[in-house]
Amino acid sequence: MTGNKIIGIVVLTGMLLTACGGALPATSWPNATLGEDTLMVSNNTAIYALSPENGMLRWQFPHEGKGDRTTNQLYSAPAENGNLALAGSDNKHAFALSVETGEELWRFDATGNKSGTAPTAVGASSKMLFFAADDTLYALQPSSGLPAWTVESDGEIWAAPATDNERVYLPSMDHHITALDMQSGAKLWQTKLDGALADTPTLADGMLYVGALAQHAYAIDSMTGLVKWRFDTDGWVWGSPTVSDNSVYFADLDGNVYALDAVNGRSYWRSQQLDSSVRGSPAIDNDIIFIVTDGGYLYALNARNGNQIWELQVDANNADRLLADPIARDGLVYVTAMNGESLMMAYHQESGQLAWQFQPDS
Amino acid sequence: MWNQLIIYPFTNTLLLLYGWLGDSFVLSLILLTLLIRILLIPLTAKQQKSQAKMQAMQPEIKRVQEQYKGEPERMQKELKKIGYSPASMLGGCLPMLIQFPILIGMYRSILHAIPAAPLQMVDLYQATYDSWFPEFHKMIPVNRHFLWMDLSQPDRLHLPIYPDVGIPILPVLVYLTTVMQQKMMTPPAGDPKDQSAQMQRSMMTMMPLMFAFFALQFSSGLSIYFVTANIATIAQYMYLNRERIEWNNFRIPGGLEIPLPSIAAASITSNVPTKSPPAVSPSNPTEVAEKKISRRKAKRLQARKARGGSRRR
Repeated sequence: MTGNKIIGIVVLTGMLLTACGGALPATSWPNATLGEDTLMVSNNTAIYALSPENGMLRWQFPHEGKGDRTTNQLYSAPAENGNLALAGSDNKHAFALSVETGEELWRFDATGNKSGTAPTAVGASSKMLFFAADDTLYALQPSSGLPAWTVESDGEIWAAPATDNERVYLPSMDHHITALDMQSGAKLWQTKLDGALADTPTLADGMLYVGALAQHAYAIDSMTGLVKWRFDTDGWVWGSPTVSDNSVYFADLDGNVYALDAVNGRSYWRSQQLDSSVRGSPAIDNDIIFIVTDGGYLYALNARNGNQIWELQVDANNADRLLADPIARDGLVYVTAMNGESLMMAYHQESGQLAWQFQPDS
Repeated sequence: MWNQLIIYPFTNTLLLLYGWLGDSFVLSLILLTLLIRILLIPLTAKQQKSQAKMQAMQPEIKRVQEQYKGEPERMQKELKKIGYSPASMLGGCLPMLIQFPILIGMYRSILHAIPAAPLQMVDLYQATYDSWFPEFHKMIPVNRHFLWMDLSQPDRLHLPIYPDVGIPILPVLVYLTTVMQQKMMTPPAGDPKDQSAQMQRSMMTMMPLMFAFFALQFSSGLSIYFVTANIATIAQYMYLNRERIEWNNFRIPGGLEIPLPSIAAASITSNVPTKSPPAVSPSNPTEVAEKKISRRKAKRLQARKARGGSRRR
């Protein structure tokens, strides 16, 4: 073997390592949120605002041609508070944008003069905006972006807190859920569960419904923090449970969908195992449950008995991963895809026919 | 395929060791690296032995090169006679090339095993063997912190007095140990103007820099793997060649001098007649080797005299 060949192999292997490993591997998936009139999608380092009716692009952030590269990987869809949308990037910056125009209104820096990245989460209530980076939750004033209070958790925070107008319910990867006072951030109660909490709890009728990275889903009294019931599943429950008509719907990473009585946790039905993991929360509209899988399928199930109404493979040509929560409203179901030809797709709820799709210019 | 053969087994072994070693991911990483090195011993030991042999032959090679300076064909013949092969001169980087598929596997496995982001957590769930971890949820989140390091991030030490400045401790250690390993295992070139010698020099500059660059860019868990693997390789080399090890000072760019073991030329003898011994400094291994050879010759002569001048058969 000649020396040139050896050098060539070394350089090629180095490039391969860089390509395979990647200095900046993808760390999250695209996410979407549907406000009153705008569908906002976060993907890698950008946010796109679309018309929910036809998928037309209204604006994008950072704005094209402005060369603003201060945003890094975006972990969650923007959270809306009136005309303001809060987005957080993994370089520990939060951005408040105008929902109408995408103009940046203010930004909040949580780096503390240290480099590095971390998963971030954003949430909103009518009074406050929330930004979580590393193990700290910042309650930000919508008008100025100044922190009203901050709370440190014992573990990383990967999901936005659930809120009513008085309390904040913070999930953490250290297996704890903590209730905080909305005005002061004071701790009201804390409950330890069996697994890490990676998604926002669902608050309904004074109860918190939460899935854990363990084979369990829980219902917790929001006033006291006491666990009302626990339901055992086959796989980890990552996505937030969806509550509708006194029923709780959720899925696990083994591809099972469950429907329970919200009051006592009794099982109504359990679906046939789907093709692959379900990371996201179910969406429900008109008694139809919509589920997306890591393997790239969208399922419509009957909410009353779990029977399948239709299924479709979103993008058969690509190894598409559907990890974000689907959104169902006004006869359409919106799906955000990770590796496919389109970033966002809307399907008719009844038939599964494609209504429109959106792919940003590369 | 790549996942099933390399990444998933590495990931699960890392997590298994993590559980056994009191939730210490660094210890788990070090132990897995050493296990991999042990499994690679049949591949690397032969390589290291032949490199040591080449290193010990250097005085002979130099002598032949000087002796037949104007006769390149004759020089090649004589070099072949003493067992020298130019391809072997480049053998110093071959063990590193063997490491590359493992290196890529390790990098991906580290990211899998210490998920610092949601996507990696989804992948980890799919990668773990259920039968190995009946209560896997209790291991989550995997503790990825050690001393000042977050093993999923590139290493930077932030001192309280200069919080804005990140000092890359592990990348520096990766660089130093790679230089040491290369310096030990690559035989010094005979003729500095020789093409293979020039290439060898550029390799010796490039490789440590490349590994240090990786260490700067990638997770510090990978740097732990680099440093452990380098130290293990050095220790293995020293053990295999323990009878011929000598310690010399080696100057690292920047003025730092560290004692570094090298291979003495004593055990190599040649059947090529010596015209004139090359001029060497007292610290030159050639002189040391020749002194040892002279002492052996004197002993043999004494023994022959004692037997009445006859050769031993």
